[in-house]
Amino acid sequence: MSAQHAQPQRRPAAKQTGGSPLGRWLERTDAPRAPYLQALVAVAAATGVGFLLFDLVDLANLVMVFLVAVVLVAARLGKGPSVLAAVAAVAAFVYFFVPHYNSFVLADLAYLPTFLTMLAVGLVVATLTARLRDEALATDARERRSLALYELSRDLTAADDRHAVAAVAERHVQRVRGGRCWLVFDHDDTLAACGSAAAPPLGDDDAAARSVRGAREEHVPPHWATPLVFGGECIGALVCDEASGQPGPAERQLLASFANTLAIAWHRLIVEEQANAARQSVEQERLRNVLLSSVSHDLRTPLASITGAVTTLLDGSAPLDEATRRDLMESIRDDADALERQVRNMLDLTRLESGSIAAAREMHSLEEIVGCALAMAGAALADRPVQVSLPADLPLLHLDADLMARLLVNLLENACRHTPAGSPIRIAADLHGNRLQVAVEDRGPGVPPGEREAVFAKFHRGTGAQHQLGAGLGLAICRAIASLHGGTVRVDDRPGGGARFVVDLTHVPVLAVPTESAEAAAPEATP
Amino acid sequence: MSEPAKDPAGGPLVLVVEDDAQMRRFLRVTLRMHQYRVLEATSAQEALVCAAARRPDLVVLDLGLPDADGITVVERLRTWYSGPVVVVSARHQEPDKIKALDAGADDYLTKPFGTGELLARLRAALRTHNRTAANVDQGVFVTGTLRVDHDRHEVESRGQPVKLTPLEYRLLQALIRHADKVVTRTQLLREVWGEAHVDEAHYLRVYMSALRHKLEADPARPQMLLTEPNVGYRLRTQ
Repeated sequence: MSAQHAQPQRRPAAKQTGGSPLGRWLERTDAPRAPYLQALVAVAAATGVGFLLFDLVDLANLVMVFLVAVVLVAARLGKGPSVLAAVAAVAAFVYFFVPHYNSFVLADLAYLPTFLTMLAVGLVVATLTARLRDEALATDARERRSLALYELSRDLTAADDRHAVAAVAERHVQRVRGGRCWLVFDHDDTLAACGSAAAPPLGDDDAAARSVRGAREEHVPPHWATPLVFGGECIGALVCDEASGQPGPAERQLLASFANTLAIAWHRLIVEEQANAARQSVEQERLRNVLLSSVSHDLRTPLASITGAVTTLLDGSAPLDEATRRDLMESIRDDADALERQVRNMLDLTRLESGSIAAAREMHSLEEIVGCALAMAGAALADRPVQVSLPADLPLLHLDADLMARLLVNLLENACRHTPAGSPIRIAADLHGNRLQVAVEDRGPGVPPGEREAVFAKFHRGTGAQHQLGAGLGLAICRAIASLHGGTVRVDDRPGGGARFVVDLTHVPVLAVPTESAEAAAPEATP
Repeated sequence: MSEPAKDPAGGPLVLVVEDDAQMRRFLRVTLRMHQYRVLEATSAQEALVCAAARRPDLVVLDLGLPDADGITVVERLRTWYSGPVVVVSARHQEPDKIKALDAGADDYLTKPFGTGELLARLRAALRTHNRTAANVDQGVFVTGTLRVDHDRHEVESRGQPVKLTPLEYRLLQALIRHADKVVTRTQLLREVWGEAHVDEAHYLRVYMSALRHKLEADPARPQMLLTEPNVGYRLRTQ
């Protein structure tokens, strides 16, 4: 892309949008013709002043008026225009104020040293002043750039994920040049873009891909990509669009500096992600170990007792009375139930956590779900009064009936396990708008405040439950099911004593089926 | 296929299709103790041959067979066999179970199940199968606190007359027709609302809830109008 081609595109855009403040400021010296015109205007003004003073001062002092004009031009407009001003000033002086007037012909050669001195002084003053100005400008630009970079790196220290980094980049690029920008990075061998706007094209021939591949700046209209290089390796690219024009040299330099800073932040994120993954795998390893020890305890204990009971029953050497036989057989049945429950819980939790269960949500009646849960928990609830209080006019709710019933069964079984036999349990529900809260309340000892989070962890056994089978997974399953429904489950104190487990689903679509109109819509029914 | 001489004479002839030896043994022992005669098959192929040769009164079919899925077996049985079929499924076979029921199976058992449950299901399957369709919607049906007079379209619960809407009445009729047997949602929607509404399970849930509120003492703990999770409903008698 040649500069001649790019220039006409840039200037109208700058006029329309006003351009970015820093860009306009940095590139004022690049605008080609206006300063020269201004230089000539300045000389013309000096000439005008010269005419006013012509009768009052002598010729040598008149030279000063022109030199002042040259100095002003140099300070304001830079070297080129000031040289032009110096030459033009000498020409105007000779033409208008030295006899013969209104002609370049000199009446007296004695004026010659005056002109030459004037020209020399003009040029020297112009050069020196312009250099001072350029240096001031450069310093200023450097300061602005360092400030922009400093602010970028300051904001990046607080960004702790890829989206946050992209948001910071976006905000800063927006501030210095406007337009949209994205961070493009390599994600499992395909490029992905991070940013608030719709992703830029990421094909092999687009700016982003070429930039990442070649680790260099690439421009494919309308995108400009600057590589993010860290430790000699290209880890991504900063892609800007050209909504505020194509970046000039100063802006490109600034973008490159941004890219360097961003590359460091991005690399830091990658390292952190790797560290997290490592930590997670350590945590998984720990859970696996707990699982293994739990399996060996929870599966082998009932198996051992079943084997023991059965061998006693089969052993013909000692006669057993009827009560003993019955006792042994009941213990076999209970242990088999515990085994079944434990295996079911482990499978459920594994499937819930691996994401292989997706909530199959349909419009369900909560009353029916509660009914199923009560039937499923039947044996455990045998000797307990259970009070169900549901709002009378509950509409159908969008839930996975199976999973919700399992959640309630686990809460009911949990309540039975931790409260004295015969103590009452209450199931209550509340619907406010789309927020459904279902509570299972008991009159047991409650859960101490310090344990209220821990009870939902896998393999946690509450005090008093250490020696019971099947404990340790039920509440973890509840939490997984609630979160599959976009909600939570927590425990607090029940007023009047006991624990209150609350399933809180914040967004449950509801469907009120008006039975009369449903009947009208359905085929005619004649009893 | 075997039919040892120990079989009690005269009981219903049951074909047990199950590939697991322990499970087969449990079923054989239990059923013989309760006066059933037992035939055994360990594969779908064997089951179809055996059913055709011996014409059992009842088929107990495990869905996890090595050579074919249960739905196919039910479909092929149903081309000529009209006796009751009870499918046995493990927990992960839920979708198959529903398909098998819709394909014509009469009821299901989910492993693990106890003897009581097994015998109740088989008894119900044999009983409802012997009832002819003609006499189901006639006369008076009584169970527990519920009394339905089909001829006069009158329903009483706990001695009090109950007013049902036409659709509620038809739903109750459908459940009575299949009393003690599971009826899938699809089946109920088809029988009560018609073929066009088989996907509109929410109608069913609303009307079922209405029926419970009118006929059950505690609608959240129904004693007659039971939900079969994932599958459908069952009217429990006695």
